[in-house]
Amino acid sequence: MASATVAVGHGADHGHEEHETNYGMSNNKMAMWLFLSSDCLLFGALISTFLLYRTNISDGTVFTEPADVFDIPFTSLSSFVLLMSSLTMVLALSAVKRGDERNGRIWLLTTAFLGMVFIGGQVYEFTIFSAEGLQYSTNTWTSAFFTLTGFHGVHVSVGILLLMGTVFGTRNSGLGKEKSEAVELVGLYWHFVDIVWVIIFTVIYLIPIG
Amino acid sequence: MSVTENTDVAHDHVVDDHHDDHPSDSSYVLIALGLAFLTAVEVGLFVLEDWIGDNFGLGSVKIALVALMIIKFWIVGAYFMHLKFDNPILTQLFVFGLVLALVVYFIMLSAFEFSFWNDGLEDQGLPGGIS
Amino acid sequence: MAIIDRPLAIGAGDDAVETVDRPLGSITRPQESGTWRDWLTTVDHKKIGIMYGAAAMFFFVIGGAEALLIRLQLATPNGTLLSPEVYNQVFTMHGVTMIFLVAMPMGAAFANYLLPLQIGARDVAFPRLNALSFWVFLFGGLFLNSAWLLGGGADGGWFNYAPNSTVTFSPSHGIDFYALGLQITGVASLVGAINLITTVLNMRPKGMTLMRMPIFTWMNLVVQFLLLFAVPVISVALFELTFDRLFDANFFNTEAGADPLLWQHLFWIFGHPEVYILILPSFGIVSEVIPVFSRKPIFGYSFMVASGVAIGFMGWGVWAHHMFVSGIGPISVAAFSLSTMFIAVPTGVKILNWLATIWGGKLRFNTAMLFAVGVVSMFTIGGLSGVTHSIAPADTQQTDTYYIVAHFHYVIFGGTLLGFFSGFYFWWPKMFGYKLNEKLGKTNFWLQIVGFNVTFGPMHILGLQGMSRRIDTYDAGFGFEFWNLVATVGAFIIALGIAFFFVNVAVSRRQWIAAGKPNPGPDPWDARSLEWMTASPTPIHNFDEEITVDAPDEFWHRKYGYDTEGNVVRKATAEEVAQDGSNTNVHLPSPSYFPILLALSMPIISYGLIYSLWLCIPGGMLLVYSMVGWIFEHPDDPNAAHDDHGHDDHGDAPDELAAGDDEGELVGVGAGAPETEATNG
Repeated sequence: MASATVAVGHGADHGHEEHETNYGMSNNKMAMWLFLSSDCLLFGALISTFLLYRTNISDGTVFTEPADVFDIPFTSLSSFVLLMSSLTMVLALSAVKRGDERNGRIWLLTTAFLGMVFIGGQVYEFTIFSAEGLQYSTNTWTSAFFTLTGFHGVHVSVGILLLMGTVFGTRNSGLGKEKSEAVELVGLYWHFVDIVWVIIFTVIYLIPIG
Repeated sequence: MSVTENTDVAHDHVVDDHHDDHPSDSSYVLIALGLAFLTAVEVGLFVLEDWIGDNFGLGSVKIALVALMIIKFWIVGAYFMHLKFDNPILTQLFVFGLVLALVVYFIMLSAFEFSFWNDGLEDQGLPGGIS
Repeated sequence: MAIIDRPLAIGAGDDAVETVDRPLGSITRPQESGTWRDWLTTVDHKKIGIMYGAAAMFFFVIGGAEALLIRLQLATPNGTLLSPEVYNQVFTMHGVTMIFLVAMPMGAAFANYLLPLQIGARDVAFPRLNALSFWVFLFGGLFLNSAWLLGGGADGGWFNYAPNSTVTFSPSHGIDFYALGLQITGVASLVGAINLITTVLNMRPKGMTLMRMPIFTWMNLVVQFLLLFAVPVISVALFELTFDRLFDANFFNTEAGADPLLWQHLFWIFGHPEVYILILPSFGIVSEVIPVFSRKPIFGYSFMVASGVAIGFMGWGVWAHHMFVSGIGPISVAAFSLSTMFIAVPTGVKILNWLATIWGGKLRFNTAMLFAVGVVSMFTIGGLSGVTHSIAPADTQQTDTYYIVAHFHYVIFGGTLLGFFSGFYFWWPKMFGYKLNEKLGKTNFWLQIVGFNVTFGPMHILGLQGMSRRIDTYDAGFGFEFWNLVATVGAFIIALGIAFFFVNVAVSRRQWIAAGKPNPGPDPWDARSLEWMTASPTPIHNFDEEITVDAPDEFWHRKYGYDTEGNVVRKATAEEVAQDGSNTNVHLPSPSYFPILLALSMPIISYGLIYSLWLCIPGGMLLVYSMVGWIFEHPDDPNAAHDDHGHDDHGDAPDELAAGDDEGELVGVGAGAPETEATNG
């Protein structure tokens, strides 16, 4: 009876016990996917707003075609950096899973570093735009563009904080195999942020208007 | 963990319950190289379009860019986020949100095309709506 | 993330028997003390559910007072009680309060209390996130209403159409409070949705397949999915509005070429699923109450489930019927007109199934049943007037008239609110250990249902006569006088009916205490689902042992069987079947200060955005502090007093640490991200 008693209680905060849950995965993992699923609608609305206003750039500024605004080689490079951070993220998870704590930490920090490079690139891009007269309240295009990429940037920044927290928060207790799920969840979030950028890069930067 | 033992290329695996059956580190690197290559192709298409215009007709550059985007999205989701190896419920939950977003926002943007406001704005010489 | 070594309680002055859990070295882990303080730190889904209900009742009184002001103003032509400006604020805040601060949290109250019980679980998947949801909702609601004291509430209708809600046309801070307040309550809904979906999908006991879950659980699962996907849409719309108002963005600035339909589309993409978010919990309650008081299983269980899910799907494809006259063009109007007609089908299936359940049943007309029948009849009227709106030419005539007001009050008051009252009378003994008085309850019901029809029935006529909504007064001589006066009288009858409910609660409680607190037993109504299989009021650990489920209506099947001729015979009494709640050997999640602290940071940041960005700094610091504390706090206090807690029962301490950490991180993402975005925007 005692074991039956606890089995009910287990689900609560012990979702990692995979044989206990209905879908054989921890509650944390399912919750993370639900959150990501919900976030699709958030970015969908932001991207749609941008698409609605993507031609509304020509009011008094020197630009006539949005494509003229972007520095595609530069953005391609920062997209590449973010894409590679997904690779370092899976390598981190793989290392933690096989109990290789040292490499796990190194890859996590690399991922965070690549994320910071990406954010740095975004700050640089925003600064250039601003200097060229495209500020947040200049027109509908700038409002939509800065809000969309800004939201993505905030997501990346939160991801960086999570990565740093994972590395530095485990200094005392170690980052052993039993923490691999925590790393996995941070990874899921990080990859999601990456695929959102895959969409933004294509839809906002590359696809020509008209 | 079986990660180190498993040297097979990722796509040789069928969906199964053993969710430790992840690709090896070297296949991850190969996947990432593939993603980098696709990105290079995307940028190349952009340059091509900029240079000679969309002369292939029917917006083929746009279609190609969208197709590449979907492939990249799928690769990251299936392998890096290991949806391919996890319980299908996760794929279902995520795809549900994704498809819902695509459908709903597609209908919304289409509705702007038909709206009277759009016509009115264009008559006044103001920019309005998607084109 | 790791658990840092917890500091010892040095000179803490308390007993200091063991190490005291101080995740950040500054706050002592709360312990159950049996006082009001428990309620601030509780993570028990039952206490959180009750607090949700109490808070929703509090806002219900506020929203009700606003409704009475509206009716007093409109009782006679050229009313002078409210100025036009104040009237705009009153009807806007009435709608916002009733929808976001009464109907939604009341649904959350029932869901929180009942979902874990109905699926036989110990608690929700993330107890601390559950507490966070409640506190975020409460502080968001208080923040929203604090606008009254700080220059007036929002004044653009509950949907606050942009560009009418931009600074140019609404220069007071009311709409800032609206946008940020709803943003905060949206966080609560989103966190709650993730939590409850995970609970229902992943924490069912052995044998409880999806198609054996009670209808109430099913309907709430659909609701939580709707919230999961609808909240981000309104979040984006509200962010855009906030940025327009506070940071001079141009999303709704038509002079800069913005499209005035953008807000309407985003709002109603959220807004129509929202309608089902409001009504489906009530459908779930009715689907529980009617079978019990008809002594029959629900007719067409799988159809009830399927129609609920179908409503959830189709609810995403009808939003533009709110915009038929906004200039969306004939193609959109035709398409959305068709889809709107189709969504009446699954709702009709539900009505028919309820009637078929009642048909031939041994009916007991308790108050709960009366309210449930009230829902079926009143919602049918509201549903039928809703179908008339799907016909675009008719809708063009009815838009912005009192006909619309009548329609949505028939579905939200007649459907949602009556359903909640049915739920109160039905589950009150399970929640509080005493039944509500039937005589007072029936008075409550009849006053409410008569008052309701007297108030909102005439509005159909007023609307078809051409009386506009949202106008603060009208001249004599248009034929509006009589029915407006009738409606005002009706509103006060409703108020009297609601007053009877509060009287009933007080009187019943006093009678119960005077009678020496007799226990109503685990199963006072001879009910069917698992929540009745444990003692009343529900013991803190819900169930003594896990229940293995073999059929829908598991509890009923344990009480009743069939004889050789196929007649229903009783196999066992409820007391024999039900658990007595005597098991004390249960490990429960420990209370925590961090949910309430984290929630408190949100209104502080929001005040900062409106008045002075400097205020965002302490708010942000509190946010970060409570998140970090949350992450480093073990969900289960290892030092909590669980005397004879057999540790072999789950001797996996290291893994527990990992699980706790994950939950903390999830919060960092789930709840934290939107707020961070708000401050960075």
